Amino acid sequence: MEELDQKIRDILTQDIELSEKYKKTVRKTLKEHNKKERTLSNKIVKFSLATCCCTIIATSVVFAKDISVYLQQLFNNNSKGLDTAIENGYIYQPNMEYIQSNNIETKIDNLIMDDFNLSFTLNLKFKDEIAVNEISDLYLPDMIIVDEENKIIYCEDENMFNQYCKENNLSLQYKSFNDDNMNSGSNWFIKEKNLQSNSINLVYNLYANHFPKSKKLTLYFNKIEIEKNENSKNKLIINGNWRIKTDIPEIFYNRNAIVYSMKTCTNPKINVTEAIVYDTCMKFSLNTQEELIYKPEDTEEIINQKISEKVDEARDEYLRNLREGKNENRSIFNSDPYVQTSNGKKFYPTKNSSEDSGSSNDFMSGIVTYWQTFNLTKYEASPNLKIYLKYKGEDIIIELERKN
Amino acid sequence: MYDQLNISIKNGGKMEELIELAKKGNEDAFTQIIMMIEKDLYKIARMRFFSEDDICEVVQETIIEAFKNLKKVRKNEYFKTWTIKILINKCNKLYKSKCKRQNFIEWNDTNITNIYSQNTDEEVIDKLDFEILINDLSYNEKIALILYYMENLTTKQISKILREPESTIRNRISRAKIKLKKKLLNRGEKVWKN
Repeated sequence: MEELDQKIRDILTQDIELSEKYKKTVRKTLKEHNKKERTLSNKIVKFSLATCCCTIIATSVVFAKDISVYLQQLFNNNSKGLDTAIENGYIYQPNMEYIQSNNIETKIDNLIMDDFNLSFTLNLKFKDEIAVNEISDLYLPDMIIVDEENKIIYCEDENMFNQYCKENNLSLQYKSFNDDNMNSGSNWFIKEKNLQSNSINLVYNLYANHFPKSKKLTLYFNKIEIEKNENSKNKLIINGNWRIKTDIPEIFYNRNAIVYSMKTCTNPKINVTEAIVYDTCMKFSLNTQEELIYKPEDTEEIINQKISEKVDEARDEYLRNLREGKNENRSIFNSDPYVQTSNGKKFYPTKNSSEDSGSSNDFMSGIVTYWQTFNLTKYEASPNLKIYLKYKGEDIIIELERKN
Repeated sequence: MYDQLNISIKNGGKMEELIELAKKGNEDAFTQIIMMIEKDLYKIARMRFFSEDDICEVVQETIIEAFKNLKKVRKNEYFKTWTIKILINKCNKLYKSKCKRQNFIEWNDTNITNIYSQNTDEEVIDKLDFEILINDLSYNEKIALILYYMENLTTKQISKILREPESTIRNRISRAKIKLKKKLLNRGEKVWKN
């Protein structure tokens, strides 16, 4: 991820051209404000360039409207689906001994694994030399997780990856992702500290497009990075050799999903390609055929030209709308789809790490594809479901029926 | 514009020294400070709004607010972070009022990403630009990214600014990176994000 990190940083810090309107606003605000400060001592008055009246603005702290509610979830993964699964027993608490290295003991306390999520809590117990109340952050920079078939479930350190592959005769490339080397992401945080036992519960949330049905997992890490007292410069790296092995319960590796097929759709051109409900979420996708922007008799050169022009045209229109501040909803699919069960309950797009949604438009074939992840789980799904969404402003209702 | 204000931006002028001067009433110092951060303020406001009018309004209010309360900044090194916090609050306030008044539809999740590439992943990555980057993600993801990468804030600092749990911030940054990486590797496909 380092290259991507750097690229994001480069993009966000690149010099941009400010509009004349913006520059004028800033300068006029400063000029007028300084002038008023000279003439009106101890009194600040807001002014406006356009049609607003002058008002006094009081400092206030406003919670963002869309701040997600901080739920007391086990993995803090903002997933209603994950919570529902846990409430229905989809959680594993391994009965394992602590693994010790360099005076630090560790073990897995809780674990959940499905096709898209692998979350676990690690309990780390420190000897008295390190007081956990001084620890503000903790990270395992070279952790690698593999299963019984030596599939790399997770690894963010290239050196560790290469070393493991070499030791185990695996011909895998760090940046080349496939079924044997998952493209998994992660987030982690300290869930709680226990001062009495001088231990920390560290939560790791991993996510991928498709985790395998592993029966055993092994976590390897040789470093623990500790940040003390919220001072990012005060970092401590503890070296060791931790190997944590755990079985995966049958409920996880024998997990199955409920498959649905389309029964009816208000738009006859729409074709549902995937509607599967898992333990923690529902994956849904459809496609539809748009009119081609070229004629069948056009040459390849003309077709490529038309497609290129169409892409440029769409992009220019989009950027023009941005600059002109047009607030129309330009999505061809609306941003508030939901799935409804037979009892009327609605389930919306999930907001956790593994959510995957979007649409694509292939101008060559004319096929438009749409995909979404909903919060509906197996535990709440009914034999019949309805998907509600909008396509180019048209209300679409898709009825699904269970296949298996 | 600079000539009209008769300001000269001193090369190498340190922010903290200028803040100290501004606190004592030096108008030029405050002006210089704002000049130094005006592009960053624009980028942050741009995360929420597309309209130049809206961006101008929130930045204007932020400048006024910052001037009014400058003496309350205890540590000068945190002035920029403090100003950004004001700006984000102003953005949220305006956004809320627009949603109520105008049936405002936020469409900043819509994007056109043209990632035609016949070559390597590195060359695909090179095709990113500011507009594509910021408009392919949700507002929450954008603001977390910009504070993390542009302002080099820690997730803990960001969590304090946005008043959200640090785990949520980490989650968003991580998810945003995965989305960008995935879209970049998905070559030759025009992608609309809903």
